Amino acid sequence: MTSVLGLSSKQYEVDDYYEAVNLAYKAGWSDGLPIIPPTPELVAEFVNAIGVAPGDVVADITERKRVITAEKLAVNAVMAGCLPEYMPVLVAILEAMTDPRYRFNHLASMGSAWPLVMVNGPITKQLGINNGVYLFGPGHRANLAIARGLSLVLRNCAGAKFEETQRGQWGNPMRLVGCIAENEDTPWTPLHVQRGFQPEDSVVTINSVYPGSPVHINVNERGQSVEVLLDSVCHAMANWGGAIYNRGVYTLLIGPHYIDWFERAGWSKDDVKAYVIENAKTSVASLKQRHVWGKHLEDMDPEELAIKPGDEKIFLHLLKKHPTLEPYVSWPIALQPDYDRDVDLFVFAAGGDAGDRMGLMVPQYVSTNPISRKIRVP
Amino acid sequence: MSKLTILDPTIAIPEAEGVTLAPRLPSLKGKKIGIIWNNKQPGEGLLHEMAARMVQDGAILGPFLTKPYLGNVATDEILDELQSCDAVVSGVGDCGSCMSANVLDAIMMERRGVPATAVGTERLAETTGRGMARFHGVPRFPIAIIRSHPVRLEGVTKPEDRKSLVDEFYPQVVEALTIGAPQN
Repeated sequence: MTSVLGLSSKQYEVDDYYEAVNLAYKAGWSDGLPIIPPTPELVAEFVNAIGVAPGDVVADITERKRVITAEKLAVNAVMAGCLPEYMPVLVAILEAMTDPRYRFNHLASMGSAWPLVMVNGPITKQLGINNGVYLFGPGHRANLAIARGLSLVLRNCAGAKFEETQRGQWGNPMRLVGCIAENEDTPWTPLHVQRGFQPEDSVVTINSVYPGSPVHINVNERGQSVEVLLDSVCHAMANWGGAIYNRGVYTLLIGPHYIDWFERAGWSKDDVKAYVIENAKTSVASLKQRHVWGKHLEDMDPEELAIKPGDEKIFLHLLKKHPTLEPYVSWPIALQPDYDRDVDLFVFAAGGDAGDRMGLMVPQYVSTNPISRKIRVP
Repeated sequence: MSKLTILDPTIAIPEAEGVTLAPRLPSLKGKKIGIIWNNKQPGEGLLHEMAARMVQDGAILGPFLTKPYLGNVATDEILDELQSCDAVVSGVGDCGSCMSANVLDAIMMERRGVPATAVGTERLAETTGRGMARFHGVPRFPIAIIRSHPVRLEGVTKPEDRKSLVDEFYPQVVEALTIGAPQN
């Protein structure tokens, strides 16, 4: 059914606004919250905001045989409470998610991973995407509506709902709050520039994270030492997760209060990363106690699993490989030479200046990679 | 308040193309069977045990290939190499992404004209496995389902446990490749 606005989605007539909201609930289009009724006029306005035709393809999710058009993205973005000017951000996120290195289908997994969306560049101020206090909100329209627009379009167009191709144990709050900006008014190099973009580019970087992110880490301000701050972060990272040695791309969220400290100490983001790579480590004794040890090996001898004297002095690093002990802690795929999965630390200047705390986003294990895409505004 | 028109936010699922896409085998006798392992334990041992039964039933073993990423469809290289087989089995799915990917492997072989099926646990087969089959227009695609362990297979390491799991799913694999009727 093609309307004069060039739209082809099936249309429903309802008596009023409230009935539209209830229809979305009954039809299974809602994520549990009320939606903004996606009228043809609003949808056309949202499509115009990216300067393409309604039928133009925005994302092709080949494994699920789902092609998302500008029109379908617009319908879901309206429903989510977006403004038209958020559409270029949503397009860039979907493009990133269909990059082969992201490996989209991992989102079906019981681990409940969902992409954290990190936004850089001038667009963050133009759209008012929060990078500071109460970072994950709720409280800012741009943050929540962009996160929700992504969540709704994947729910309604790509089976990303528990009734369909998604088995997440806990679900993931990032589906509602997982869009944040970086504070680029610090001396530190913003994430997108670190990843090869120009400062004046607006960029999204997506990285799949487990629920429970951000992990809240308290730090010790003794001696105003940046090493002491990071030691607590390193311990929390390396001891996260129980029976898993979770390798991937972590994101450390640092507020302005501590960025001042790092600046005074002459530390760049790369210095932070180098320190964490060296010091996020766990002993064999601890890994045995956690039952990480040998988890992916068949028929382990109980003797091999028992903690022996000396195990407390042998360490494995979270963010770099051990020369010989990897098979005892690693998923077998990760041992193969052509295994394509980044292991890294992003340092992201964001969050409030409350002091005493840093935040950690824990990556999905094994399957995916962070992807960055330039945001194109027509 | 005045009447409103609103638009549907969903994409229509394609019309069902049928239950399976490729012709079924008369039996496994003399047929070359390829196997895709999703790189997740304990699937390797289970698939080898299944392969041994197939040989006992007169089948010939084709390539046993391992996927690099358990949550995604097999690479084109793997799918192309298995095209010379008479049938293919992909397994063993015991999580959301891997089960759906095992089903997709089987559907991709079907589209290459090779009858195929996937093996996985009940809870995942009936949700993400079935969901993937629906996306590809074959909502009743036959999946060999392990019901004794409805979710995760981790910890199934003893030979007698392996044997009893294969007892459970092997007949369904044979039926999926020969008759092709849906299992549920």
